[in-house]
Amino acid sequence: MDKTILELKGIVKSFPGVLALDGIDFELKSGEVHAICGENGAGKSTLMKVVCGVHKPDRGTMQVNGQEARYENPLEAYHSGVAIIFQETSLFEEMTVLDNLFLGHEIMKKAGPVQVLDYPAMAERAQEIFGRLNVRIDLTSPIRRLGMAQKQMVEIAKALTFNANIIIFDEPTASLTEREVKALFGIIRGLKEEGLGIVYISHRLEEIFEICDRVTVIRDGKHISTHPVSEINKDILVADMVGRKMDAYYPKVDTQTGEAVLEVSHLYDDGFLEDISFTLYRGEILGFAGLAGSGRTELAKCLCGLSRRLAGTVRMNGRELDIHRYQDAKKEGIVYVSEDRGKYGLITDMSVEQNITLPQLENFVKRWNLLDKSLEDRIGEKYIREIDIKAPDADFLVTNLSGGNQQKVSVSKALALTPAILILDEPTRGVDVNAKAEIMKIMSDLTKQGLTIIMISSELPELIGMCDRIYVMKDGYIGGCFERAEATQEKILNVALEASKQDRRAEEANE
Amino acid sequence: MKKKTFRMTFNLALFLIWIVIFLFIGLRSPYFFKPAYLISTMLRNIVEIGMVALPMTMIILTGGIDLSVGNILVLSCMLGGMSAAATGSSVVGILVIALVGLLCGFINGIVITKAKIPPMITTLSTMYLYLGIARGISQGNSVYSFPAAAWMGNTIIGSYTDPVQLPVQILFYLVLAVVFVIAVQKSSFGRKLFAIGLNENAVRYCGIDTDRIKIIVYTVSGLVCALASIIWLGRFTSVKYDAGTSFNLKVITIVVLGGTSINGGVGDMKGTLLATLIIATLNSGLTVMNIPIDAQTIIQGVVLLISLIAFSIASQRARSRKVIKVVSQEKG
Repeated sequence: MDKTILELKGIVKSFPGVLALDGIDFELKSGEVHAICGENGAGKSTLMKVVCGVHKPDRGTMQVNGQEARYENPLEAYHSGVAIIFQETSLFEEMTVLDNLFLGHEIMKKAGPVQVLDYPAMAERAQEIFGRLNVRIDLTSPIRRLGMAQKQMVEIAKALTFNANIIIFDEPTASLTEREVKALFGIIRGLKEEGLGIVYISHRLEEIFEICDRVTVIRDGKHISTHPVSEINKDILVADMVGRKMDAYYPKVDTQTGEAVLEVSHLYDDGFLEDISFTLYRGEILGFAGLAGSGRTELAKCLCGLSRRLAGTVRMNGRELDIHRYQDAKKEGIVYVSEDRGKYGLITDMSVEQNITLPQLENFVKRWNLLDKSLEDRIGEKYIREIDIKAPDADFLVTNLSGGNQQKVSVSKALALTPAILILDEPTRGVDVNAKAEIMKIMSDLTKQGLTIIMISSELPELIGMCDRIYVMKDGYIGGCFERAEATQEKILNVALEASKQDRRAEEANE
Repeated sequence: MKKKTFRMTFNLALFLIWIVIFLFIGLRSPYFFKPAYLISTMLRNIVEIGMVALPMTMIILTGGIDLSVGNILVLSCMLGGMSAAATGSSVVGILVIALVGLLCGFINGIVITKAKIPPMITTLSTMYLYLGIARGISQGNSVYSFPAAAWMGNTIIGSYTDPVQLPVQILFYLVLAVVFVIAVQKSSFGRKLFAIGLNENAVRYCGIDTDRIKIIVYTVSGLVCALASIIWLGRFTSVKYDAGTSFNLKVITIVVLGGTSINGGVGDMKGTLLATLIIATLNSGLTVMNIPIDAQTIIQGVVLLISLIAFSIASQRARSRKVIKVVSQEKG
């Protein structure tokens, strides 16, 4: 029971511009479930990627089952007993359960001069493992026919085919229903009794108190604390995670919200959004919550003309808008800041000012469309000053900035267009805690100046802290709306999850 | 800013390469150093390729490529020459040439942007299409020059008593080169080209019509091919359908040699000009030195390889310097 099977000492990992892990210590014993807690961007996932060989640490040592370990790739980690089960499964959708289980380490047998796959042996081993997990799954079914929970079972079984004795779960319950979570916990308890060590990463504090033995908190890439779960409570945990008071963190000021700016009624895009209606009032921050893939980004794109609108009307200040392309939205003053900075937001190999001016180059030219560098410098420096972008000058390449400062460039680029309505999609994704607080502050200041903001976020505390009202989306339609005063994480999550439950039931009924 | 200084050094390297080649050939074969030879043979021979390399740089900057330029050139030559012969009018010939070039480029642009077929495949198909049409229409026969084309290809400014005589097409090339350098390096249009090459999605999310820009670029390329084809027809007096076979790759070679990344987003118009000079010097110089044609090809391949390796080393250095700088900032 008490044997230490995984020990990390002083792990340091940096990426260009970010120090992701700053000397982390961690220890896992056999037969224990050890939780790692921390906010998004605290470094949990990076740490686990170091453990399983996806990233190589810059400094620090790692001992696995008593031996110094340094993995070149995840397969090496697997073979020495470390398995990770990611949020999104890494299974091959078109292949069968059995093929996935033994991919890369198939059991072979001799058939005359050649080696062939020994399916009976693999099936037998798979049956034995699923028996241990107390799960029944058709081994010949392709992965794509399985539900989320079943896919996870396959992942766990896959880890066991490698005889892994350290299993890392990265947010395993994010897309499971309550019943499925119970089943998963049953399995985890079983593995624990077999003497495996489990690392459990989760946002949901209740789960940690239910299933884990110890909990380690990391913040900003640093180890903050490790406690036995029995000795602490939620408040201590949250205090460790946040490291500061909540109200300092979400500097939302109450603003006087004015008349309706945007009225959306019965909006459909080509296939996903269903009958979306909502109203946006001047000067408010309107939140959109929901699980990943619930249609929030699709809604933003549809409003901005980045995807097709099939039915429904959008009125701005009482006038019906006819938006077909993003250019039209831009003209009306609706500006979208994408959730994916690298892919849709910024041109990272260009400078800060070049990114800011790109959407409106026509305003930065002299005669004959020749660019006016001094005008560009001026606006670049203006935003470096006002939004506090930490760059030596406006000619600095965006790729050399940290995630938070890149996000500020994204926001500056949108603000430079002097929008009436700003749509921020996951404005704090991949941003460290301090930059997050700064971005919140900027948003708050902007609404004071009369800007109207739609904020899409997966982080509920952030939404609850910042928004005047929160719409909750599920599977392409709006499932509920909460006022700032009445919104709680539990209420929002219930709405966000409810739909997937219904759907799953409907699917089961169909089969 | 960092990037800029780095580009300067690559252009400087190109310039040095050119000086070395130039001096080497010149010292071996003194006849080479005569201005008359340099201008009316060496430069005159490269003008058409050099011209088309200008819009090709734009195309490659956006992350695209055009494999059909040589065939656009020949097809517009043929249709122009034939219609001039049929009507007896140079004006008709010029108009037809311009129209064919414009149309061919426009077709490339439309297929690439609207049907969303990768530029490499689109222009590979249209390369065969334009080649086939040229062959079919001419039935394999040569098409002959007409007066306006002959003027473009063979006019020399300055009399025999002047120290330097300037073929008129070099003047056209110089004007075009200046326009393209300014358009790419200094204008808002040029900025958008670089941006598209670096991250087209992000440019679309800026509310910029990237399709329109790409169509313009391919159409301009067709137009410049048309201009080059008038000079080409005049210079050779007759053109057959297969004349442009190696033209496509020669143009792309120049652009790549000039330091424009085939992945788009990185490059410099001035590099293309220097590369044009290097290829011109090699072509003429090796002939002057009586080096057999197969050895010439090998030498060209080697020069291209050396400069690509130099470019890759230079950009890796620049990148690692950047990372070091960032890390030291973190620590400090």
